[in-house]
Amino acid sequence: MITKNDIRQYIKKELLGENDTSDLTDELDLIALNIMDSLAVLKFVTFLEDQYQISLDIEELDFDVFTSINSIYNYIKDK
Amino acid sequence: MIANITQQIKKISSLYTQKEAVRINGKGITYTELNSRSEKTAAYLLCTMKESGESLFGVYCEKSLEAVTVIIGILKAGASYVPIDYTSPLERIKNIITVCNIKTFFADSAGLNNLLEINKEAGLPLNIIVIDNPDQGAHSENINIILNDKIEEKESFTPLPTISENAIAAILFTSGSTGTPKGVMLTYGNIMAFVLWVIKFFKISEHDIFLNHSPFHFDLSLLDLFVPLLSGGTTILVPVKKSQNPWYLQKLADSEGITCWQSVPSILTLIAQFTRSQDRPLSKVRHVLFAGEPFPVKFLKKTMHLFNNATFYNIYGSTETNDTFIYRVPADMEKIPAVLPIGSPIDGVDYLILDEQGNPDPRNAEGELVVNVPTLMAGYWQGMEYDPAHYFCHEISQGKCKYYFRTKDLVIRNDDGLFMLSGRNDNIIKSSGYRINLTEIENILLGYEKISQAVVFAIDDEYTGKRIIAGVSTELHTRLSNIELKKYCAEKMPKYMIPSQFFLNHDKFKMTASGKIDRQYIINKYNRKRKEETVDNEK
Repeated sequence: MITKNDIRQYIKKELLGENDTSDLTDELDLIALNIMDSLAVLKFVTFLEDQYQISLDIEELDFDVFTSINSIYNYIKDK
Repeated sequence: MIANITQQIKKISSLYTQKEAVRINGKGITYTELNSRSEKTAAYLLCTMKESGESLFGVYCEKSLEAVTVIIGILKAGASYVPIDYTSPLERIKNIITVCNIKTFFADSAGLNNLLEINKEAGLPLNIIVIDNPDQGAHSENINIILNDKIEEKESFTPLPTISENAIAAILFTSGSTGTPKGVMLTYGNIMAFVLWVIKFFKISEHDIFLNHSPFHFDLSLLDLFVPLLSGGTTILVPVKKSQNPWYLQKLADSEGITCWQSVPSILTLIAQFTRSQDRPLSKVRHVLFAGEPFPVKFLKKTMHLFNNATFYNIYGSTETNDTFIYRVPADMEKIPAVLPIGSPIDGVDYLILDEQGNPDPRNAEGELVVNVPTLMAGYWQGMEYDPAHYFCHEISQGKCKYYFRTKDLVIRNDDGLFMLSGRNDNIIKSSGYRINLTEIENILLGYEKISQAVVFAIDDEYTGKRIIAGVSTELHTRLSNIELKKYCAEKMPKYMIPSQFFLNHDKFKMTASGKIDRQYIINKYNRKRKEETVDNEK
């Protein structure tokens, strides 16, 4: 089962680099800030499938699901 | 005599009455519906234009059947449509509204909300025609909200005007160096000339089904929108939320039977990378057109396996000129060169290559490409006529000029006559199909109080082609985070311009002897740091 903290850690490690990330709140709009671009979303989806065996209806996936840590968590917690 | 866009739409509508012209999310409208609804819009607009003297109408909505109807309606009225980037920051949109003095908008609910937000500060008086079901509670002092029903009530027997080829059909905004976007004015004649070329070159018929992927503010959309509608085919709109989802696009192409695919290479790259072994080949697609940036050959080859019956074309052009050069990718993968040429000029393109002194010697095999084409824009909105910064005057007789558009792209003509891009002579890059002015980003960054100096540059990226990096210097002890900077950028620039990484420095940038910031020094410093990090990660 994936936690919010797992999502946060993934974003820090894969998308933000070593810069100061204390501003990374659970509501931060990752898409508007271009932190979650399309490539990042697709890599993340692949990661969820491989690491957590979460299966998503990928063909119908709206990318705005990946707007924030909260929206990601709410979308995948029951998958 | 070239048929006029609106006459051609009417003719096609009478030929293919019950055929679907546009589809999205499994729903469609027929040519008869498109024609009659757009005529009602035109009838409504003609009244408005007569009363207020307006000739430009903003279109601020997600892709939808209504959005297409509205664009066709605006054209039938002989006016110009100004498509607004749905994802652009409000400040930028406000700028476009003010510059163009747009008074009437077509918007969906989300567009309406954004316009209300802009209006709160700017107080611009606007008429907004809401094309979907709006929130009834929405109101604002200066804003007059008109429901679409008003248009539906209109009788469509109002005679439609005859439209000159030189009238402006669309204004598309692109990146400008000063931070103000530049409006490219395209005429009815420009669009028609382009459509006729596409129909002839690609042998387009009423049986063709087009992927309509690019947003309407983007020049690639002219092909996906007007070519099918002027030839009796069907165009399949891709909703923005799903436009970057390669699995959705594959499924859509399969289920809708897409025959002509046009997109920026970065979308095809995503497909190449994330396609799954069980995915069926998209055998119905006969043409794959890509434009706007270089397509890495290794991903091109992968995509060719998926589109197993298609011919691939690398197309070169710009918003100002539309497509000017084309390269047909050899079907035999062994014969594909390591870097794709832009190929040869298309029919009707007159070009010159300027050497370093700006001379157009026909023997030049290397230099800046300048072009004169039937699809050349009427100019920039409120721009100076034949501004030498954008136009090259080729003297054909004493004191008489033939004007060529300066692409600012450097090209090399190979021995076999094919053209290759070799660079730019300004600070512009192309990424995900967008032309991005790095100086514009620097100027915006300098507007942030904690930043004292900024150097923006691009590094090659395997997947996206280019990645934008911003080197910024701040005063010592200033706390500045990546997210804070991205937040600031998101308010000021479209998403595709936001640097993917900020490289912070607490000391002043080194200067060159001439007193300019030593850009190369910063780029080298960044590259060294990146190399160190890669080594660290591998340890």
